[in-house]
Amino acid sequence: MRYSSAVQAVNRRRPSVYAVKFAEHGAIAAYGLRGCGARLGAAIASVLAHRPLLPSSVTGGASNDSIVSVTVRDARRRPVFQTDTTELTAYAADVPLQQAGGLTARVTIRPHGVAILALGAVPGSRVSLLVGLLTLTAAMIGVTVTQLRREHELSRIRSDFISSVSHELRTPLSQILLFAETLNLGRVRSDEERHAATDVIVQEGRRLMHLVENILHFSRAEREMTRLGLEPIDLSVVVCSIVEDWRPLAAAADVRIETRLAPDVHAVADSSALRQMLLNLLDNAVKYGPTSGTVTVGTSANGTGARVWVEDEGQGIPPDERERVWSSYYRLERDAHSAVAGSGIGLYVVRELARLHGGSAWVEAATGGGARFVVEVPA
Amino acid sequence: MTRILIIEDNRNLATGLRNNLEIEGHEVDVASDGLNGLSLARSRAPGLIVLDLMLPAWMAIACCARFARTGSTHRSSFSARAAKKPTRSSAFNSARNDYVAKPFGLLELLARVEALLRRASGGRTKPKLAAPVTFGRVHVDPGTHMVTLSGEGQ
Repeated sequence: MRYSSAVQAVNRRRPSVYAVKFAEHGAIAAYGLRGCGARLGAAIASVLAHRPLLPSSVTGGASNDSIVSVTVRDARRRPVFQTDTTELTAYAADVPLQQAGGLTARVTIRPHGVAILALGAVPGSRVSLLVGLLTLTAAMIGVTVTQLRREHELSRIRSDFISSVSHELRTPLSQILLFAETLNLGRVRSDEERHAATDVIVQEGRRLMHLVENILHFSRAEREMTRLGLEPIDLSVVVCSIVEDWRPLAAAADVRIETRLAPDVHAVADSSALRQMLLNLLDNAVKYGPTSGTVTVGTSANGTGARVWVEDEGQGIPPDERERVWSSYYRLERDAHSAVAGSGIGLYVVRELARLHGGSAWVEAATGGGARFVVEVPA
Repeated sequence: MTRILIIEDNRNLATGLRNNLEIEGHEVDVASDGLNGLSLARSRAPGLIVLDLMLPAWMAIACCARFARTGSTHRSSFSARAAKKPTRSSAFNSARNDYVAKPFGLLELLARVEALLRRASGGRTKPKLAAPVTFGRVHVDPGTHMVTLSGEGQ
């Protein structure tokens, strides 16, 4: 398994938190912290306070600090955590904590510790064994800290996701509420305004339904619970029907949809899954394309595969991001802090559904400079 | 009647707000982005601005900062969520007079608009009464407290 060569900041707001990802599919392999010695030191202190290195049955009730001294250094050998270093013996062990971003833990026994640990008939040669035990325990510090970080980061990602989803739901909800109240209070001046209000309610209701279905698809994909009902379909006919349903939503955003559907493109696919994939691609194209722009949808046959593609006139996807955009929760840095709502699950759902079909999904540069998202399913 | 400027990039929301504010008797201009909004704010001198804070961030901040500097209008703003960065918060805080979160209630927004306009006029503006309503042969005019049946006072 190859790791991504670039270590990337997880979030602009938290440049110190970085992630190493698998090159093949972009899943996060490990998290790390950069330039945060003080926080790391506090985390280790917290761990030691709650989880003593040596149990009281071994220490005879004495505090760990009176028996051992612990020093944790970063990759540049700078101490990030240190207990009292006075009165040390030569019995020490260094443990590189590979999983904790190059940290090294050193545990040294104090003279008082030797007296307690080698108490009575324990021969001096056993002290090195005890140091080994301490070493293993010190390694556990690193594992625990790493786990703490990962849990913290996962919790942050989950929180960001919930925030993004709720924001995405608010846009259609705002419109439904505004126009429903307008109708309910009889605040319309003509039949035209009444029809426009009901149209918005229906459209945005559909958008809400699509968002909710997307979250359900995502949840099922995460638990590998998605089941497809594959059947032979005429891809162009199905795509045409989906596009016609979506056209009013695109029109509301002042975006035109053009189709280039090849005749007789047959595929073996689940119509519902195909609909979800295409709606996600259309939604992205409308969101990230320019206002008053055009989104083009096409189909083509390709040997044993049938393709559907969606092309926009936006800024396109930089080549080094074209694989990463399919990861769950991932959004391009330029979009993550923009006004465009997005939860970072749409493309993940598309690729998962394509994979379950035995097909694939990818993105390439569009002829006009935007992005061209392609889904291929078996013919 | 007050001139109100709506700066909102969602066409449906902008239209719905415009219609409702017009029904309240205001004259309404709509801009779909910050640049047009700033331009209309200069040329039309609105008495109140309804600004979507979820316009692209720098543009929303720029709008707020500019409105705060000119100080010639009274503003209301609404947003889908609170800004998180201190710089953005302070920009909004210095510029806006009121704030509602999306999704907002129509009547609440209208009430806040009227309250801002009353405050701006030093309380001289009387609360706006609902427009006359006719159903069947009955005509109700809240302004004159008159109800008529087929044109005859009751």
